Amino acid sequence: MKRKSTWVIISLAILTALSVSSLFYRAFITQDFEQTYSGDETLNS
Amino acid sequence: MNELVLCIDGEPNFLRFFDLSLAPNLLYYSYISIIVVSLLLGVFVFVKDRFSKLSAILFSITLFFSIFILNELILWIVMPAGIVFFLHALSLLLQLLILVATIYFVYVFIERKNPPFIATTVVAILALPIIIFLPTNLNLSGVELDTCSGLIGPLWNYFYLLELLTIIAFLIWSIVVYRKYRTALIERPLSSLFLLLGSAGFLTIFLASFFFADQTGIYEINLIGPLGMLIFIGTLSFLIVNYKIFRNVKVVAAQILVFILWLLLSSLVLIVKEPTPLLVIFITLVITAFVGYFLVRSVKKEVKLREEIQQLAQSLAQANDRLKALDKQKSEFVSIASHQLRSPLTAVRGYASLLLEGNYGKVTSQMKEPLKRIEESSRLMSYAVEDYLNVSRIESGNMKYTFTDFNLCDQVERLCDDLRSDAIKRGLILLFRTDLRSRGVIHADLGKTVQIIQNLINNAIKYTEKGSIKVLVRDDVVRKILYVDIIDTGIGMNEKALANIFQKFGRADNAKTIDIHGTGLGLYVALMMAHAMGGNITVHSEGEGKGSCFTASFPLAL
Repeated sequence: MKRKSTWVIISLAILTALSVSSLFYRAFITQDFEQTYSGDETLNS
Repeated sequence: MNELVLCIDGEPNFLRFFDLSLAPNLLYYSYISIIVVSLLLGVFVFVKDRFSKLSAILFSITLFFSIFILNELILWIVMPAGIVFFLHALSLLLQLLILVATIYFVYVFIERKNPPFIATTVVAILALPIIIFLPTNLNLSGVELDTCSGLIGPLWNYFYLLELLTIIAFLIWSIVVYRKYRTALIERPLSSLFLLLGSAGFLTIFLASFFFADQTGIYEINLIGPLGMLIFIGTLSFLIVNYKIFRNVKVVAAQILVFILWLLLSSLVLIVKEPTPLLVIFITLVITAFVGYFLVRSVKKEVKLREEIQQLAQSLAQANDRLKALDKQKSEFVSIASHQLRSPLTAVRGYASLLLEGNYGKVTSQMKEPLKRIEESSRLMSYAVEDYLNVSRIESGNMKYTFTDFNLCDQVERLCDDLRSDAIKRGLILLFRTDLRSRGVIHADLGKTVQIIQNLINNAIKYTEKGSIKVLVRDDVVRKILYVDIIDTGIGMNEKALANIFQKFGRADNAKTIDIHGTGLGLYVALMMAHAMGGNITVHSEGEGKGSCFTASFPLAL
């Protein structure tokens, strides 16, 4: 039972690491996100 | 220039942390102090109680929380859009980690075990969407450069829903704990209740501040959120001080409490600019420092005293265990020795009787006296062995009782008839009287009850030189007790003797003046056996030379 729970936690930890890496890639490498300015005006996307 | 431009063009400049014009003053008050305090608590508890699971989870909570607050702090100080996007998106994950760690902590604290596999899986499944969709538009679609914050997606509402459900679950759980507390079904109920309510309060303030800030766009509301952690820390410190939930950290908790107070007070200096309140704060700080010092010192003293008492109690308990073991060994030794003595003694007694009766040829008058002495001594010795055996049986809990309903009045009358000849030999009168309202039937072990009464009557005969012995059987039908009084006109007892007569080897001083053999165990054995059958034996004497009255009582059969 304890081992099963450990596997669940390890899987979640791996998924989290992947997710954070992907977020890092999006935020700093591709910069693929919307940047709005003064209400509706979009500067970059 | 305002923050807007900096948000677009700005470079990460950590020196801006200390530029008080950039962010509201409350930021420093509510963020930095809480990072320090929560980390301090987590690290201290972890260092002091390294092998406990609770302290490890608490350390994770404070660590996640500090990273989260630091993250928020950096978000407040303007940054390039990439960093804002990354940190704001990451803050959802950090909030999730704090929530899960808090649930884990509360569970382990109350249930004293790891959560079951099913619970872990359910929490994992609920947390999964946040982890998977963390880098997607469902979390953040972009950055709003006006406010220098992320454009949040539906994932945030999902998280707020999870947080709300947790708060509701904690509240329901605290009601359950409170009910169990009222019926005393749970260990440490009050501390569990405090922790549940404290955690619910912490999460509520946290949820409310971030939810309303997101909804209204007024991010100043966020500043109140971390103060919720103070409730959590306060609850924990209170639990540590009052319930000692972690080992060895009582002093640390007192130090942390004082430190929190001092830190919060001193951070007021950052907000207040007027000289008069500043002076008041300064004086308060000095007083707090003094009071805090004495508080910590007194807690230290108390903890030291308590530890000494605990050590003493522990060594006493060990000594007690050792004594019990020795006593048991002694009883076993006596039991074995007595058993081995009994068989040869029976043979000695038997053959002495047979010799005396002339079964092995004619006994000369010269031989008769020594043979009588052998028979008499072996008889006394076998009584003594029987007493030792009884004591060892009682003390080892091996005395067996067979309970039946029988008429004690008849049994006592028969006993008196049997023992009357012994009394007459000593020139005494043995009288039997009854004063009964019931049939005189009791529920006890027949053999042992007769043994008790026989012992008492024999004693009366032994210790009475002249006069009479009166045996009275009476009852109290209201209290359902049958009494057997053995009243003699013998040597009597003083108060000291009365107090010790039922002790092991306890004999009255004047008893030793009479040439009577006795082990001093008879009355002790009789009393123990009476107690085991729900009865009792009491003694009353006016003083030495004024006779005694022994009263044996047994519960009447219903």
